[in-house]
Amino acid sequence: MKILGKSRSVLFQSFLWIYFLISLYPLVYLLFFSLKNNDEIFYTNPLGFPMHLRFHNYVQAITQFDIARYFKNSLIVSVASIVFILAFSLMFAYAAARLEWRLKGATYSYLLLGLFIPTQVILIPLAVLMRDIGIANSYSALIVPYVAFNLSFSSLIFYGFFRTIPVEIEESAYMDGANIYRIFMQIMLPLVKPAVATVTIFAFLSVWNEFPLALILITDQAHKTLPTGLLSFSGQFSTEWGPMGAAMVLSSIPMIVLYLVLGDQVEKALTVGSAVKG
Amino acid sequence: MRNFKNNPVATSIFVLPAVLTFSMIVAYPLISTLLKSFYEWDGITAGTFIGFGNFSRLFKDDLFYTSLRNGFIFALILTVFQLGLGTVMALTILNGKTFGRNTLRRAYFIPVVLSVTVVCQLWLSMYNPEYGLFNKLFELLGISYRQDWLSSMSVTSIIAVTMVSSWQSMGYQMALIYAGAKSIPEHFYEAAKIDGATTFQTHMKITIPLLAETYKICLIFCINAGLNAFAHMQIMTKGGPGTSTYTLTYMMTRSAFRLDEYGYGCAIAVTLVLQCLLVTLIINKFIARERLTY
Amino acid sequence: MSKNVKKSISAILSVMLVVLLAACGSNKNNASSPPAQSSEPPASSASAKPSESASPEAEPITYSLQIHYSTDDEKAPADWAIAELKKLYPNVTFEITPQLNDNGEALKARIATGDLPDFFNIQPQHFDSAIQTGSILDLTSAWEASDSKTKMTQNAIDTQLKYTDGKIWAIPYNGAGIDPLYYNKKVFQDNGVKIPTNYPELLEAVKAFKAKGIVTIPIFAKEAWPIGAFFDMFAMRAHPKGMLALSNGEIKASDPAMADAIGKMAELIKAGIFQKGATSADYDTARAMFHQGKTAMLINGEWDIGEMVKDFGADIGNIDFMDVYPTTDAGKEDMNKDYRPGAAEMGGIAVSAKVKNPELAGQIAIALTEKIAQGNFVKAGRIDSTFSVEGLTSEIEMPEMTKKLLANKPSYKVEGTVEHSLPNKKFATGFGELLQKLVAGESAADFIKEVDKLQAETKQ
Repeated sequence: MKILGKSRSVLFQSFLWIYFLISLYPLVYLLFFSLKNNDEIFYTNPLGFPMHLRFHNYVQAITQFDIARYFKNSLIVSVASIVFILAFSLMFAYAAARLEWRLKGATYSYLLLGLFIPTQVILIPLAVLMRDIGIANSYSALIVPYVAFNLSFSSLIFYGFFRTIPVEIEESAYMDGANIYRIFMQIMLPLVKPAVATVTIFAFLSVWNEFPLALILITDQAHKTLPTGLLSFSGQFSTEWGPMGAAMVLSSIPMIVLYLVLGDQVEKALTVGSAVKG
Repeated sequence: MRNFKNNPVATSIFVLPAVLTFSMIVAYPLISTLLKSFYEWDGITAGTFIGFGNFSRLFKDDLFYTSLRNGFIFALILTVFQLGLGTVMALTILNGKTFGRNTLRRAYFIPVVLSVTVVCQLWLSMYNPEYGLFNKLFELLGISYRQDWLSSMSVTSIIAVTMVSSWQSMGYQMALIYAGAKSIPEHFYEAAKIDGATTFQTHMKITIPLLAETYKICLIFCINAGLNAFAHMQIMTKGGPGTSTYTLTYMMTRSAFRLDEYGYGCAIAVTLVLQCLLVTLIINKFIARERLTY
Repeated sequence: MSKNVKKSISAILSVMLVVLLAACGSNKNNASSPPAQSSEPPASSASAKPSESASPEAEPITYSLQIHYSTDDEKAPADWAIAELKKLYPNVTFEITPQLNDNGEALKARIATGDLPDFFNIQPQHFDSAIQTGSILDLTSAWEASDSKTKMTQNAIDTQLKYTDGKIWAIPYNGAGIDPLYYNKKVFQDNGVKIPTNYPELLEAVKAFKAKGIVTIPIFAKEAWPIGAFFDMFAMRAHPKGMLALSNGEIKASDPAMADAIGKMAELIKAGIFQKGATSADYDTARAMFHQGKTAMLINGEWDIGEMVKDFGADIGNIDFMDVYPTTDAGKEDMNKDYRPGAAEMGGIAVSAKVKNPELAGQIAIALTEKIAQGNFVKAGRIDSTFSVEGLTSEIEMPEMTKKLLANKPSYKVEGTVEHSLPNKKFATGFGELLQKLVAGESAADFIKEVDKLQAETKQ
C-alpha cells in the first residue's frame, strides 16, 4: 500500500517536472531561434541548438529595427493603460460589489459584455471613432481602447475579491467614523492587493502583446508599438526570422521580469492575507 | 447604519469613469456593428437595408456551422485541459510539501507571457510531419502512428490548434485558481485535519466547492476564449486546410476584409456576441451565486 | 479628516480625467491640422503651374511613402529609386513606412477612415473602395503630362495601367510575371530520376522520389496562390485561361478536359508530390527546403531567381525551370504549351487625395514608380519592370535562367491571373480554400463537385 503510494508520488513528481520542462522549453526555443537563420529555423535544425551562433541577429534587430522606439512606445502605452485600468476597474468593482444603487446588476452585466466582444468585431467603427474624436495616431488612440477593453476582465476579478471581504470590516470602520472614500482607499484597497498584482500581470500581458487594434489604429511610425513593429521584419515574400526572434527575445524580457516580480508579490500577499484571516 | 452604502455621489464617482469609457469605446462601435448587420454593406460606401437578410443567409451558410462546431470544440478542449490541469497544478503548488513549488509555480506561467507568434512557430515545428517532435517521438517508440497534424481535414487540425492555445494559457487559469485557493482561510481545513482526511479528499470536499466563484470566472474565460479563437489559427493554418480550422471570428474577418461583405461580417459578429452571452448566462444560472463570506 | 480624503479622491479622479481628456484634446488639435492642410492644396495648386512644381528651388517638401521596405532585398531597390528621384526633385524628401504583410487589413481600415499615406502601394482589391470613397488621386491627366509616359512598356500600358473605368489610379511597377516550375538537376541526377517531359513521367518521378524519401515539390500552401499556380499548370492545358475561366464561368470543373486535368493533380497529390503538412507551410519553409538542395522542384514566381542566385552561389547552374510543364498525357506535350500561370496585375503606386500639392505629387508618383521598377532591375536583377531599363545595367550578374526567361518571354502567353487577383472575389476566396482541401487529400470527384457548386453560387 505504502509502496504503491510512493511509486504513485514518484510518477506524479516526474509528471510535474516534465511539465516544467515543457513550460520552459519555448523560452529556450526562442533563444535558439534568435541565433539561427531561416534555413535552420525552418528546415535543417528547427528544434535544436544553433549550428552557428548568429549574434549578428541581435545587432540587426537593434540597428535596423527601431527597437528602442517601439520599446518606448510600448512602455508608455502599457504603463498608462495599466494605471487607468486599475483605477477605473477598482472603483467600479467596489461600487458594484459593496455599494447599494439602482441598476447595479444591470450596469455590472453591461460592463461584462466586454468579455465577449472580440476586438475584430468593432475594428472599423472604432477606427472611424478615433479619427472623429481626433486622437488617431497618438498614444491615446491605443491607451483609451486598451483601458476600455480591459475593464470588463479586471472588474470581474476585483468584484470577486471585494465580495469575499467580510462586511463587518467595513461596518466597523464606518462606526469609527470613516467615510466611504476612506473605507475604499485605506481599508478595502490594501485587502485586494494580491488581486491588484494579478490584474496588473494579466492586463499588462494583454496590452503588451496586443496586435489587431495596434495594427489598425496606429499608422505612423512614431507611435508604433512592439507587436506591429515586429511585423516590419516580414517582407512581401520572405521574413527575416532570426533578427525577428532576437527582437522577440528583447521584447519578452519586460514581461518576464514583471511576472517574476509581481508573481512573487502576489505569492507573499496571499500568504500574509490567509495567515491573518486564519 | 448601512446608509453609508447608499451614497449616490460616491457611486457616480466610482462608476462613471469605467462606464463612460466602456460605453464610448466598446458599446458605441458595437451598436454601430449591430445596426450594420441589417445592411448589405462593403464597409466603405453607403449600404442597403436588407432586414434580417444577412442572418437568414448566415443560417444557411455551411461555413457558419463549421465555424460554430470548431468554436465549441475549442471551448470544450480549453475548458477540460485548462481547468483540469490548472486545478491539479494549482493545488500541487499550494501544498507546502511539494518539492520546488515556487520554481514550478513560476515556470508553469512562462508560456502565457510569450507572444503568440513565438509559441505558434514552435508548435509548427513540433507538429511538422517530416521532422516534427511528435512524429519523431512515435517513431522512437516504434509506433507507426504518424499524423499530418495541421493539414488534416478531419477534426485533427482544429484539435491540434486548440492544444497549442490550451497549453499556452493553462498558467492563466492555474494562477486564478491558485490565488483563489490560497485565499481560503485555514480554519476551513481544521475539521478535515481532525477527521484525518487525505489531501485529495480535503480538496474535493473543501477547496473545490469553495472555489465556485473562481471556477465560474475561469469557465467564462475558457468558453469565450474558445468561441472567439482567432490568433492561433491565423498564424498556424490561416483557417486551413480549406476551412477546417475556421471559427466565427475568423469567418467574420474573412467576410469583412477579404470579401468586402462588411454587413455580413457584422451579422456574424452579432451572432458571436449573442452566443457568448447566452453561454455565460447559462453558466451564471448553473453555478451557484451565493455570497461567499469567510 | 473624512472631508480631506473625499477631497483628495475627487482631486485624483479629476486629475485622471483631465489627463485623459487633455491627451485627447491636445491630439485633437494635432489630428485636425492635416485636414486643414489638405484644404490648402486646391488653393495653392490653382495658382501653381505644373512647370513651377518641378523647379529645383521650390520649397522643401516631405511626403509619406508606404512601400515594401522590410528585408534588405526590398530596401536596396527602394533606396536606389529614392536617390534617383532626388536628382529630379531635390526638394522632395520621403518618410518611408514599410508596408505590412497583413493581407491589406490596415490599408482597408485606412481607406475607411480616410487616413492614407501620401504615396502608397495599392493592391487591385482595394481599388473599388479607394475610388468610391474618393481617397485616391486620379492620375490620368498627370500621366498624360508626364515624361515617363513614353518609357512604359506597351504590354503594361495595354494590360495594367487603366482600371476598368478607363482611368489611371495607380502606376504599376511589376510587369507581367510568370510562375515557373523550377527544378534541381542535381537532385534528379543523384537519384537517377528522369527529368519529366509529360504527365506519366512526372508521376513516375514523384513515385521514385517518394521511394527515396525525397519531397518532389515543397509547396507553401498556407497561401492559396502557389496552389493556384500548380492548378493552372494543368488547367491551362485544358483552357488557356485556367482558373480565370472557372471564375468567369467559361468552363466548368466537370467539363471533361478540366476534369481530366484535376484528376491528374489529385493523383500526383495522392502519390506524394508535396511535402506533408503543406497547408501550414509558408514561403520561408518551402524556400529553405528547395534552396538547401533537398527537394527536386519548386513552384514560385520568377522573382525567386534572384534569391536562388544568392542561396545556391556557385551551384546555381544546377537550377533551371521547365520549358514545358510536364502536365499532359504523352503525345500531347504541345497542347497549349505557351500558356503560363502568372499575372499582369493592376495596382502599384497610388496617391492620397489629401496629398499636398497634388499636381506635383502626381508627377512624383509617376517618376518614383519608374525608378522603383528600374531599381528592381538594377539592384535585384528582376526583368519584369513596367518601364524601359535602357541605359541601365543590373548590379546582379544575370544568371542563365534569367537570360532564358528573357529569351522565351515573347512566346509566353499570360491570359489567366493569380488566385488572389481573380476578379470574382467570392469565387477566388472559396476556390483558394478548395485548393487547400485538394492538397490535403480531397478526391478529384469531390473537388470537382464542390468547384461546380461554388461556381454556381458565386456567379456574378
